[in-house]
Amino acid sequence: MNNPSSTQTLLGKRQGDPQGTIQIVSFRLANEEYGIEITKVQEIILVGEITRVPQTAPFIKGLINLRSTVIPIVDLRVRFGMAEQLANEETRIMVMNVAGKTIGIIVDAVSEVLRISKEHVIPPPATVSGVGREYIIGLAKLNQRLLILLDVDRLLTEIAASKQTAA
Amino acid sequence: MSSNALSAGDPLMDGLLGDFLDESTGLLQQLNEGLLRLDELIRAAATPPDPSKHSGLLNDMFRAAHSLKGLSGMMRLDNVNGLTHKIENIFDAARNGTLPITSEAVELVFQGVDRLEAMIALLQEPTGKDVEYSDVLKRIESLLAASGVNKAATLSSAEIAAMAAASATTTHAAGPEAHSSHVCSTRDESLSKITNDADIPEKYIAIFIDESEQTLEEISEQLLAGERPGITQSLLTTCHRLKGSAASIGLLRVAHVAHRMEDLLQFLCGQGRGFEGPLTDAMLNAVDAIRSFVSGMKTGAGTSNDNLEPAYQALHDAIETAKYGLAEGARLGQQATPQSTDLSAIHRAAPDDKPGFAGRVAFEPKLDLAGLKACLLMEKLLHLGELFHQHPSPAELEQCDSLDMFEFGIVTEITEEMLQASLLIQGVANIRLEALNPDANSSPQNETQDTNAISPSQAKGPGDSPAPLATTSPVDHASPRQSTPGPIGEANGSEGSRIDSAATTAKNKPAETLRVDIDRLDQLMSLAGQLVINKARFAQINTQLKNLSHLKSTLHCASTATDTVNQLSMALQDSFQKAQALDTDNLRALTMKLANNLKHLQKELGELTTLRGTVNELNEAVHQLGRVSDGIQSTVMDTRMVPIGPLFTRFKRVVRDLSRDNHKQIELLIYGENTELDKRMIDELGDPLIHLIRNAADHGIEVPEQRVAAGKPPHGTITLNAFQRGNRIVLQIADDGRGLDADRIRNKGLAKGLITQAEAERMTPQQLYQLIWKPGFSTAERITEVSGRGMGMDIVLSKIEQLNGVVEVLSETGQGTRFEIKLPLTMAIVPSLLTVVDDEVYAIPVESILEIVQISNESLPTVQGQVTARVRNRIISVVELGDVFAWERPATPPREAKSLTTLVIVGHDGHELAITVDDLLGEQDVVIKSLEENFENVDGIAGASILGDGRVSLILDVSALMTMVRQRCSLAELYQDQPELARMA
Repeated sequence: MNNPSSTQTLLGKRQGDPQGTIQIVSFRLANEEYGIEITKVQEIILVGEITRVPQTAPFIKGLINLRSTVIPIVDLRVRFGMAEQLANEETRIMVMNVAGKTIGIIVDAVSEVLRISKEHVIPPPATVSGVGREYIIGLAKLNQRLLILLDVDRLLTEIAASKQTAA
Repeated sequence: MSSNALSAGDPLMDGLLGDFLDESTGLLQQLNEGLLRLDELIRAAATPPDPSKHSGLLNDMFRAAHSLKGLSGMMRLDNVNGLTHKIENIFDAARNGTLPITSEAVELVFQGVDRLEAMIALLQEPTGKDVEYSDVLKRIESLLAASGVNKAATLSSAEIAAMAAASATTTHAAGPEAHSSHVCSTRDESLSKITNDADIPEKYIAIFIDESEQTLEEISEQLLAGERPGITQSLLTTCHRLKGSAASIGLLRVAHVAHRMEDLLQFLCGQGRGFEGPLTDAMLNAVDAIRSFVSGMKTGAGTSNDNLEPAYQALHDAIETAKYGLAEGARLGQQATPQSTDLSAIHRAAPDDKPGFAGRVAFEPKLDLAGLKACLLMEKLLHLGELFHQHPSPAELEQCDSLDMFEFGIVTEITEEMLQASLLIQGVANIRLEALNPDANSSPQNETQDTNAISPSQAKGPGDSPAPLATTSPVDHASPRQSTPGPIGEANGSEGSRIDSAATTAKNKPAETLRVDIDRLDQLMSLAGQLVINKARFAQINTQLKNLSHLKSTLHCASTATDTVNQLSMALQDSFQKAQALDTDNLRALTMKLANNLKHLQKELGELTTLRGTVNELNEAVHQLGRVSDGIQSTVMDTRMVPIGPLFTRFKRVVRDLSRDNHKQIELLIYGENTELDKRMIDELGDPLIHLIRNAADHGIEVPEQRVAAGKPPHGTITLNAFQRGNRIVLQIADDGRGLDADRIRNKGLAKGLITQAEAERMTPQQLYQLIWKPGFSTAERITEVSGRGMGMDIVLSKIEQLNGVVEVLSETGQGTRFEIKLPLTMAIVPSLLTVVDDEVYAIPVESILEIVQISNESLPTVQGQVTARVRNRIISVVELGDVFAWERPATPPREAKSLTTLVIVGHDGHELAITVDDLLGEQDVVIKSLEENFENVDGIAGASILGDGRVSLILDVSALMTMVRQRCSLAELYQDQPELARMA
């Protein structure tokens, strides 16, 4: 297995981006499917007890203890103006690393890790509207499915400004 | 002037820089303090102070400047070095009486010290801009010139550093400021009159040890690497550095030896000559001597019995030899087929713990058949003991015709005299023996004897002629393992050594310190914090397990049940026999089964109870864990604690400058300098304190006329105090000035729109004073350079709050103002009361809790829509957290109608507030986690902490909470007690 070309392919697969492919963690919110670049995702955990924090925007669910670090949890449903839903056995928290901060987002279910070619990513059509519009990098077409790719950096850095939103 | 030679990428220098910064800050502080005292003296008397009366002070300051000069020379900071040299000159001239101590001179030195501070600050945070100081230099020069002490000014900075070694050689023509108080002239070729300074601060010693070990290593490496271009020059630099650092802390003997080394190198340089055997040897010997001196200092063995003297002499002889080329040493070195080496190599090769000798036998020059004689001697030695070292080897010996000496190492039981006697044969000029492993040696008199050619035993020997005795090779003077000076040095050296030992016997091993990156301490602190959390968790699990003790009653219950069933079965049997029922067997079987099951259950329960023992063990282990984690936490905290004194004394200068600029007379009183605070806090406190002090000096203290008119002494007093009160450190900054002007604050507040007219009318002075914390608030009508730019107090407030502290202001018109800053002992761990409000746990810092009361609902009347409580004749607003905070949360189930409400009364700034809580969980040390780290700061929340069960709880920020309450209901509705104005200090 010391064949250099096979090593190349392996490396390429692992790092994801030699020929313009990206690795995406896909998840579900209501009946929409979303994707976030895998490099942004630190881990996926179960929903435990969340401590509510006053004086914050409604979509800030609260704080959790992630191995002795206190991190905030964002409810993406609320953020995107969808109806809130009680946590069930599929609900997960995706822990992200964005701009040096660790933040968790609550999603309805985490589906799978996908590799998609950049060619299959198209800009969001102008017809898409709503709160989430500005956080969408693009749409990925996958056979029968359509994946909404989220700009996590933007989404989560704007959460820092949530205090103004809440006020 | 040249900028610093301190280059990036020099790891040695980088490592030393931290030490230098520490040291220099201290020295500058010393200078500043001394200057302040001089300043006072000058102002107290019309004529310049008599230097003879204040020689102690002047000497101290000279010493501080001198040390700084030495240190900066060692760091190759030319600019610092040059300026300190000038400052040193001033002090020198002043203590000699040649320069009158005038306020101009003091002011000039102040400026010099300021520039030095700037230069050193630049080292910490390079801005790329050099500090301009030539103007100060010029003015010092002209000041010195005016007093006729200017000649020294022409020396270059490198030479200035050399002056620290006080070497009066030809290359360093002594200026008039020759540091005669510290050093004797080195023209005297003996080191014996030179003594080390008696009281070298231990911290300097530690630095010197660090530094010199490196330097010595460098020198020997360079020497051993052999001849190559530029070696002399680079050695010169290294020796120079060694000299500078030794001299700067007063190790003058070392400095002199280093100076000799330098002389030798300089001679070589001048002659364009390369290294020759004896010269290298002499250098290496000197290096070894200094090294053993340094290691003696390190182990605390004392510095009295150094063997610097022989090394010094050897260097001197080597120079002389090289100069005149006639002494034996040079020729010996050149002729010797095998290079002579140091005896220390033999010592190193010696087997441990066996008595014996290292020896060197020198033959008369040009002795015929020296090789053969050597062979014979070796043969003889073989009979006396076990030879472990021969140099040259026997094979070499047979082949060489001209031999001047040979060396050997022998393990033997015989005495030195016997060995010596057997070695003395015709043609032997000199025998040197050194005892191996002195401790293992059976006969104590052998231990350290340096048996030189002059020793009496040898004088009696056959074939002895006086002439060759004099031709001792230079290397013979130095014996690195020797613990007493050789006979030559002994006569002269005794006096010096005595003084030295007197000075050093009292000294213990210097405290070993380690410089640690504060980030690592932070990390350690955070780990200790996690340990505290885990401890809490264990404690909680333990409590839950303790419920196992109920098993005992369960067991009892089971056993009773078994008994009952047994009785039942008996009774049944009886009745069955009488009744003769058909189904007896079946029923009996069932009862039996039941009884068996119960027995089984009882047995298993019995086994479970043994678990209780285990639980008790766990209990003990958890307690032990608690003790250990508390210990770790407090040790880590202690590690970070530094006294506040240096921070306080920094303000003396500030106050002096302010009082001069404002034409006020202000005295700064400092108390509690030894109070210790977290290093990070000390770093952060500088800014807020300086703001408060400037405010006090600028606005608080009146000009003398006003003070006298008000019946106060003309000079004002600012008092700085620090002490520990319970779990908090309290800092007080008080002045006896005019106090805050409530009317002016009220008007200003109105003008700035901070309060409404209605509020303004109802506010008490104490409430009005709180307005000074508002951003943009400033009552100063006159904007001065230092304060009154409409910022300051809000910065103070936010800084203190960042440190989880609180600041209070108390003021009385005409009497003064006092600021009281209360800080937690550490920034990371907050003792808190855990409370439950709406099913969430909130931690309330204990430091803000005044009391906890249970009050019946009838005593909670509503005043203008605001629930209030009457507690011990105080009327306090009662709030529900849920109402204060703006948030969307699921509707909380209506609280059960309870007749009693629990109120936690918190206080801040003289205000009180009662918070209703549903339950109290008890007090606990919580580790504060910043919300900002991963999120953002939230109003009213100081941070989060992790509870024993792993949940996150929020820590309330009481002062912010009160502000929020105040905003919600207007200021005037907040009832409060009348704060007592404490008497001004």
